[in-house]
Amino acid sequence: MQATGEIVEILLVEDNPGDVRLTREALKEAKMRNAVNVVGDGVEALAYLRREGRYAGATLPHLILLDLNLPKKDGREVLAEIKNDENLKRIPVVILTSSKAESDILATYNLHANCFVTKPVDLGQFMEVVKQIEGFWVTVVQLPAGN
Amino acid sequence: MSGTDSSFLERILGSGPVVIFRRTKSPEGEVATFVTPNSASIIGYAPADIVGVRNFWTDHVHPEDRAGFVAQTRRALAEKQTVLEREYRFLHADGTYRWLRAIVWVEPTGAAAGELTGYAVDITERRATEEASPRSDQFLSAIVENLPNMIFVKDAKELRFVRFNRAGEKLLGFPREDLMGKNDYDFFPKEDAEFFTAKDREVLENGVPVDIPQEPIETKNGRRVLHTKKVPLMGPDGTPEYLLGISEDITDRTLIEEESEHLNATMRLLLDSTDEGIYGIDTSHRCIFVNRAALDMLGHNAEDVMGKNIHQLVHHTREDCTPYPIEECPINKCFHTGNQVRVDSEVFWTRDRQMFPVEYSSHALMDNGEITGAVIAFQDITERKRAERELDRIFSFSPDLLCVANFDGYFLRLNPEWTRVLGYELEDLTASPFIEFVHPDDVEPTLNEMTTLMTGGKTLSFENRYRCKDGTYKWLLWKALPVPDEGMIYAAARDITERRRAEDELARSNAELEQFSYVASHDLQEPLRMIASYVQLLANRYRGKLDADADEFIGYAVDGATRMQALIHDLLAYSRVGKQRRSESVDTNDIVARVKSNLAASTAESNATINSQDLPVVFGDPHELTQLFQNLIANALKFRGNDPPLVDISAEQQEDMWKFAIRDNGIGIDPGYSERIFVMFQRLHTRGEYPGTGIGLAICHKIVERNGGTIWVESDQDKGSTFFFTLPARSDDASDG
Repeated sequence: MQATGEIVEILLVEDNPGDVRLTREALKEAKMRNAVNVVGDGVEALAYLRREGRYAGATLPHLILLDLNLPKKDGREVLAEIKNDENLKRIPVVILTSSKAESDILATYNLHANCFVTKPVDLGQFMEVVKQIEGFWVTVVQLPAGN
Repeated sequence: MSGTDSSFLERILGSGPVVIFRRTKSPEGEVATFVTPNSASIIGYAPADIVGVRNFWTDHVHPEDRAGFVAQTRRALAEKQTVLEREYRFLHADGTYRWLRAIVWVEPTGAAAGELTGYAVDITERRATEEASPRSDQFLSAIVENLPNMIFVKDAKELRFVRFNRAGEKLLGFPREDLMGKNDYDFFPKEDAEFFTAKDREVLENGVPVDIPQEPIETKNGRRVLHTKKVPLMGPDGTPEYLLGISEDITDRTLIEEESEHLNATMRLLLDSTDEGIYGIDTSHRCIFVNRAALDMLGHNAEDVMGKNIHQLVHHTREDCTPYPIEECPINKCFHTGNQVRVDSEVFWTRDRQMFPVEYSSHALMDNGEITGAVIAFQDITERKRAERELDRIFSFSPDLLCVANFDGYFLRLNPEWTRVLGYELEDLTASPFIEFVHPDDVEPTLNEMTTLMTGGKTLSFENRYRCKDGTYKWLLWKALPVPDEGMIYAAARDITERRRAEDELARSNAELEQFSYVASHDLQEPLRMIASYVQLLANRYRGKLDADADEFIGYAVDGATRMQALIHDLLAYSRVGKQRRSESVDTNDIVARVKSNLAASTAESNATINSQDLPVVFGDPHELTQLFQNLIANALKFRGNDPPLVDISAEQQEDMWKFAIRDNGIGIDPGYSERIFVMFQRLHTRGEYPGTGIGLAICHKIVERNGGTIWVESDQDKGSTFFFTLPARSDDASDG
């Protein structure tokens, strides 16, 4: 649980600017003050998390929202690497995707995704789901210290 | 001539075989004035015995020849003939008569008138030879008299009898004195006489003989039957002078023939009443009887055939036009073995030199253990051969693979199509059990099918693969019929390799199409979600902040995006039917319960009642069945009338299917549309009346069909609708695919 007033760092891995904007809009209405950092592909995502190159000064996020279909390195690979990385594997990863496929759900949980959410088609529902994700993982769930 | 010369001549002449003489005639008679000395060796008298003796020569001529001898001499003198040539008998000194041939020169006038000079030769031996073949009228008369047949001669003008023999007298019962000089009208009934006379005239006018095989005649001894031959006898001028008649009395023979005819009448009737050709032969192949049918087929008359060598007549040449020696003929062979033979591969020939295929059988005729001949029965099998040829052609030209196989698993007969399809020679296919050509994966089903056939079952549609000569396989579709009594299977196969390939292709293409529509609708969803979301965001934030036109435009954009989302959603649902489908036992009570809960909001909103009886367990995909019930029940709620919706769900068993009925009290459907409503995008109402994509019932249709059932609707406008569908009660191979 984050202390009140602290800024919640969220990494959004999403290549679609439309979804980026919608997610930002949704998180604007969230309870916690948050800072959303966006990367457009899997390679960038891992570089950010490992603070490589221009991301050397980046802060580790409290929550990762990961799309599955990404250029260069897709969400499954990114997920696998995060969950195999001692420094990263405790960061909650929420799969936020338009897929409803059974195979995707199964595969990502097998790769230790923390949860799998299908982007609702309806705008209102989308806004609501994003706010709840933020609310749940940031304010409800107890995570290990130093995360 | 000198004396020396004279004696020299006399010596020569006197030693030859010729008597030379000179005689003179006087009113007192004749007297020889000179005779060569060899007269003694020829007529037994020396010249001294002859010369000067009055009438010596004439007196020694045979009394029967003498009158003619004298008359001839007298006539020669009177008619002044110079040379006489004659033959006569002369009394030899030994008392026998010798035939002499004499040439005599006559001096009819002058000083030496009446002088005869000539020579004579003994021709007795020659005459004896000639008389051995007698030609005298007397001799012929004796023959004619003693012949057993009636012989008569009539003159050509009046047709009066001029000659008649003893056999004739006996036959007619008249002495010849009564007949001579009379004609037929004098002692035969008028009709008979007219017939005889007409025949006579025919013979005489045409100048050729006539044969009358059966000539009835009324005699003093009753009616007789004659076989008569009438012959014209030509005179010196070449025209008929006489008519010769020769008649044989065949009355008795005719009677015997008639009697045996009568006895055989029944047999004959039997023989002639059959369509089979039948004839009998003796061991020399001569025809001894023949029936009507045989004659009809062969084109002969009985006379052409009876007594003739029938092999030479109808069996002389083989079908390939080579000669057929009688020694090789099976009929001939049966004379030696006494066995019956049956042949159906040969031809007989008609009188018109046409051949026709026959089947014949020949039985030896036995008499006291000896073969005396044979009876041959034959049939014209032109039609049968033609039918066989037709069958052969159909067999050969069939585009299907035809075969006859035995229960031992071997092909016995195959048509050429096999070679074309599989590439083997037919001998290759008959050499091994056919199972060796079957694809390893198909061996077991093929053996099972064989077992079915051998126990009398038919094969109506069986598919397996046969190995071609090049190692590839062809799919064959079989139909087969066993004949267990014969231990045979008659089968037709069709090469369906192409069809199988096309089917596989179609299935693949359908799968690809579904994949495409799935992917397309799925991928369309993403950009559409963007459009819809942002249009909605626009509406949320700027409604009432721009002008009225902007609000309206935004309104339409939101509506369009929403409808498109619904369409894509339904389209995706449609294309997902049958994908990753599970088939399991499903309790439809559970399904209906879930649907009720899913539809709780609209049920409450429309104040609807959904009743269901105890529903069965069916076999299908639970997710699809949920969608099926949900679409149908949702429709019932949507197309409601003025009353609160009432939905009734029931099921009844029909053999191994369950028939479900979902009845509502809604607006109903015009029966004219009851088929159309299951087709994709078919809508009966405007969007304003009832919203919808026109895909819901198409999804239902696809789900029911995929689960092995059927769906239909019964409805009357304004009286509600009942949707029926069937689902299999238990697992079934047919619904597994």
